[in-house]
Amino acid sequence: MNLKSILTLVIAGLSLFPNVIHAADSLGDKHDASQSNVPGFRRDVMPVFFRAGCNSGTCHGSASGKDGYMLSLFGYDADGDYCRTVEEMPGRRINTALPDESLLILKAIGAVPHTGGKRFERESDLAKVLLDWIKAGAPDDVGNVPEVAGIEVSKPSIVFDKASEIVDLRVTATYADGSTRDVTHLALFGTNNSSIAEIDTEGRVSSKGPGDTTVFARFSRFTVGAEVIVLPSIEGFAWPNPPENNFIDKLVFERLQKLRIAPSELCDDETFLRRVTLDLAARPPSVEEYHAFMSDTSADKRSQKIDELLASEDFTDYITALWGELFRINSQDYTGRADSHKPANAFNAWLRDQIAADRPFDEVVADMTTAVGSTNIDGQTGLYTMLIKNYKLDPKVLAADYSQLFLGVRMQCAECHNHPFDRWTMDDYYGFVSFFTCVERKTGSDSRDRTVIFDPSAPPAMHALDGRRVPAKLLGEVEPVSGDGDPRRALAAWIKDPENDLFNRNIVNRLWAHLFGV
Amino acid sequence: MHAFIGPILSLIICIVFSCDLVSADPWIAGVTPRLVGRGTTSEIVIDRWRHEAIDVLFYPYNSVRPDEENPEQPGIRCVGTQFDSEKQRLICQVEVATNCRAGEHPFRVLTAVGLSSMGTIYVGPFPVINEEETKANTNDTPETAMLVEPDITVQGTLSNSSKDDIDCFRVSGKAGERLSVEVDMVKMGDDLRWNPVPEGYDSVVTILDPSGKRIAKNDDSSLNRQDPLLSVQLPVDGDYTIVLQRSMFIPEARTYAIHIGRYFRPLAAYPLGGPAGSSLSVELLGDPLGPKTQTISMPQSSGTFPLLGDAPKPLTLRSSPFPNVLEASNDKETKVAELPAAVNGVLTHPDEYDRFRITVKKGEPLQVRVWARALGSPVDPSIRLRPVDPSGELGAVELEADDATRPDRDIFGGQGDFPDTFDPSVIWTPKQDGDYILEVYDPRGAGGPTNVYRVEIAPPENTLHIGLSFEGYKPERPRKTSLSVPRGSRWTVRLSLYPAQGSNITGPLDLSVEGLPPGITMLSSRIPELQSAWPMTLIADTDASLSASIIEFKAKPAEGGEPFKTVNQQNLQRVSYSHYPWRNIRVDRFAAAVSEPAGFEVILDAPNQPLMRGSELTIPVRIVRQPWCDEPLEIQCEFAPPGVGTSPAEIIPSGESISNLILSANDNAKLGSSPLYVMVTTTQARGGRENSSVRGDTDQGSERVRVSSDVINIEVAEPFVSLSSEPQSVRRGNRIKYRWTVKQLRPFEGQASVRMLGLPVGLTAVGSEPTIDKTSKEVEVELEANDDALLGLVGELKCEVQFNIGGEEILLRTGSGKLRIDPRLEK
Repeated sequence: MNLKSILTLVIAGLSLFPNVIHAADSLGDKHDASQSNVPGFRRDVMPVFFRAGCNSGTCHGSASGKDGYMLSLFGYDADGDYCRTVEEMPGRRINTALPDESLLILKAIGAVPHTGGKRFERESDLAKVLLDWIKAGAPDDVGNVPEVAGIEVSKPSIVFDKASEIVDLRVTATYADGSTRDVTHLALFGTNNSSIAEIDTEGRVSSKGPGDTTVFARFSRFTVGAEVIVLPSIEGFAWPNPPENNFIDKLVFERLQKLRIAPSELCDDETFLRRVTLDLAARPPSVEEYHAFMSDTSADKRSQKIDELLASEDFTDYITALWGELFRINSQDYTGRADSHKPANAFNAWLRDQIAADRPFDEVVADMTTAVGSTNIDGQTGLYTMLIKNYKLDPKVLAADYSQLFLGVRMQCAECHNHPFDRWTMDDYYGFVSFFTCVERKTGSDSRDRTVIFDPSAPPAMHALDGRRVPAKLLGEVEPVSGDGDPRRALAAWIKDPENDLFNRNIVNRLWAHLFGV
Repeated sequence: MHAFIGPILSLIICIVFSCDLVSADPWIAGVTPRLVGRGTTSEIVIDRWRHEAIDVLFYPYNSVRPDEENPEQPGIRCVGTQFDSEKQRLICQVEVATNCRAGEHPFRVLTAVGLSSMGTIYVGPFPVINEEETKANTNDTPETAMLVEPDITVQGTLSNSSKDDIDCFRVSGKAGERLSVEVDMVKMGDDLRWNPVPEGYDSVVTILDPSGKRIAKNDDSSLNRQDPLLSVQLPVDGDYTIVLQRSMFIPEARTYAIHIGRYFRPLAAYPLGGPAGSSLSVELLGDPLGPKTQTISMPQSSGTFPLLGDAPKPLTLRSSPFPNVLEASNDKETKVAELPAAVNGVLTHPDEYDRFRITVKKGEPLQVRVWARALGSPVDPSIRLRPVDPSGELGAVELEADDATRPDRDIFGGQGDFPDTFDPSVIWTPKQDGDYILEVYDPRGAGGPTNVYRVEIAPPENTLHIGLSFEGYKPERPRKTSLSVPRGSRWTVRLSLYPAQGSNITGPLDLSVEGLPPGITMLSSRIPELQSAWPMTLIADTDASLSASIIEFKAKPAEGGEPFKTVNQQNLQRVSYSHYPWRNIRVDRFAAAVSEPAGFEVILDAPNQPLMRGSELTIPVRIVRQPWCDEPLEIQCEFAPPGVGTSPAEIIPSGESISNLILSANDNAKLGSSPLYVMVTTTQARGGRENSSVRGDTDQGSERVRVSSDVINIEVAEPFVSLSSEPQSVRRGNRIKYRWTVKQLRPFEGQASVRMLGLPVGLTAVGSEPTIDKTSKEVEVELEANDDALLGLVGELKCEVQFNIGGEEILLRTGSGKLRIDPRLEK
């Protein structure tokens, strides 16, 4: 879908909110995954570290650990965690002869001085898991232990009619082997707005005041949210039943109705003209436009005005400028010298041509993604000299900027550890970086010019933990992209894939934010 | 503090240069108009100018040229000049033959004080008219466009108005016809300022159809570089508008020539060359109405030459002394029957790899040189060489090459952007006998019907390139690069000698020069072995007439040496930005002239004694003045043996005739005999006429009269002696006889005095200076330390030994000593 089509829909509507999915039935365990009485390190012990906050960034999960004991942040490196826990201080941190004397337990229950204080009670289930594991000899896991593949909450949407009501939320983890497990007691919980809803450590949600917010549960490397709506009083509320012009209206009205909020009246013609001209042409309407619009008696004059503005040079200039700013188009190229007017102009002119031609934006981004050639001549190559203002075309920086700009994903955290608040792993990160390790800039036809090339000999990115090369891989995929040649072509194809929600959602959100400020 | 020095110096340099360029002559800062038509006699104006012109010397075509061109007749000549002293300009009548080659023609103007800097004039292929925009911004729209009839060249100016000046031209056309447009703007740029704004020369052309819709646009291209070039098939009958504007607005006036026509406009030729002297069928690709096939007569000599056609910008091809191999379009690889050969292909499709199978011998070096971007092709080529094992499997990559350096491409003396450097050129010594696969590809993955390339694979040909030292300076400095010898005087030229890629030139060489003006002779001693620079002296007879000619330097091996080829080249920068000129004017010969007498000569006598390593030697420089020549003169040594420093430039005041040149040899100075000369120049402009009131000499050296000394030989030898010492100590208030051990290296006559250097405060030599002779084994210098002497170790003590041999004073610095200064003894 091109920008103009999206804008036509958006500008004609009012507001868009995430769809509300009413509370689903809670999911029961399919089976108990534990097949033995001895707790496993990955399946049982590491969740204790997670729940007790041991492997959080402020404690032992920080980059260099804490007080001589280091864990990987939220447990992204299980092998390393086992090694450091069991083998670093034999007989002290883990004492299999006298399990109760293990520092791992004594510190956690506050029996000896601990910078992090007391994390749980001696008689708690968490302490029991650790103790049972140590009594069994603190064994490492044998064979492949299924990793957590995802988590779900028992109610993705909760609607409270009033304050002071309570709903229990259960958290279920699904493992890579398909098994599931109730991990409510091991998960962490939080709320985005405690004045609307709170959630305690057991997953109990309580309503506080009218509004909508999200409570979320975290386990392993996954975070899922549950929408919570606390309705205002129904007294005095009447839905005006405004007409729907398109599917966006339908979604917005559903939402408003659910929140018991009556939409504003339609604005008058003057207000509409001013708003739409500012939004689409970045200027107020002219006197001539004002009179023409006000004297127009046709029923669809607002739609006509939108189309007219979308077809205008002003709109093309404005959208070009907006994206140009995001692409950092200016005469300051990666050398830091302000003599790159020509590549900047070429990039800007190319971008403007695409917008003027009303090309689908996924195709525009795909063209930039696979760009090679002269920055003086082939404007789309500007992405590789303008976006990154650095002498060195660092593929990590490029990947981070690209994913944030086009996919709405901030994945820099995953360079050093699995993303703490999102699903991105280090494999995802380095796989994505590998799309850009093959891009090089070399001298161009004159001092302003650079030639962007694909270097087939460039190796993929190196994983920071184990040093292996991670071939180019699309975000969220398990297998690398196939085929020889420039892997950016697969990335471009993915950008154009209608099923690519990351790209589509990001572009719509950027336009929505531009028009509505949210 | 250092942070400020650079910018301040840059500013000073900019001011100096930008001011000087205005007043300097015979300095061709600009020529108007820049373009003249064929079959016409046109007036061109050089402004500002302060001399009568004696001659205007046009350069002939470069040595590799199509057969139909006569090398002696470039087809352009000056038939008259008028010097307008009031307006300070020179008007030249230039006659252009109907068969004159279109394009740029370099020239120099001969004046009484010497040759000017290089100027150029363009010859257009079509009749020339002027834009006739008397007021800026009056032909900026399709409605106000200038109506023109193809095929025509319009000369115009994008003015310096506050609003970007756009020039529009309207032509009528019919559906299916071709409309071709080319612009010369950067190519005609003569901007010689230190830091101009080159973007102002960068233009873009758009063609609008009768409805005003854009149907084509071009800014840059591999063929025409920063200047636009377009050719389209017209979709409908009607009036079309050609819009010319800067690619970025710079409010500085820029002149241009726009060629508008219906001419055939190929963008590439395939193959990109062929055997010298053969008849070659080439396909001309890229025209909007389709390709054409043409048979051409290849030049007899090897090199790069223009393929002249209807279009102003010619294609360029290669002529080579070996056969062509064309890519087999349907085969996985193309077999090359034997080497040397030139393989030719087209990277038609994206990600295309063209493969050629060659058979080589282990250890025999080959030059693998690609020609693509250098000839205007859009390909940015890379190559790989991989052996084929007996089973037919490809081995590991043995050689991979992408871009090249300028020396790799045999470009010497120039700066900035040469498209040749996009094309790899390597010397490859195969590691095994047998078959190899040469892969040619574009690392951008680009492909297209005009993406032609050529790879020449041959044993490297021993070639020596000769240029003039100092020509890399920007802007050109005529006193270094345009060779003007005052009548009755001599001028020594410092030649740069560059072996071509892969060349192995050994043994002694002899230099010569061809084409000197009457009355000039050349002197050059034999070069014992190849080195980067060598002096050559030009001597003008006392009765030589004021004249100029195009000359060519030659080098050949002394008796019995391996023969090699000589190439002259001079690359002069134009439209520079910092050190990145957008274009260089390249000629393959030089110009020399006889100018008015200097009024003085320079006598430099070779010293009788060798210059010892680590020593200093003073040589007197004597000026013999004519009675009328009493002006200050500047003396500077321009050529000295490696490792020998010379005293800086010095002014000999008016009325004086003696100066001293101090030579200082370091410890690693090259032993043996090497040449040395000094150049003496006037410091005030003479204006070319006796009693001229013209003043304002320039750093570029224009109007300076230059005379060199004879080239003398300096013998660098080991020193007579070397001194050494053991660490010693002295107490404050005491004296010590500091002992130096004398090692005799070469016998010398007489006595030499010894003086210690590097003595700190509080430590002084007492008594008379000790002396040594050729039998001495030790010498003592008496030192006294007082209470000002700092306690501790004093290092870096040296001796200066002064010899007087045959009346010449020689100072030798030798030795390295240490002395510890101790406190007085407690009483």
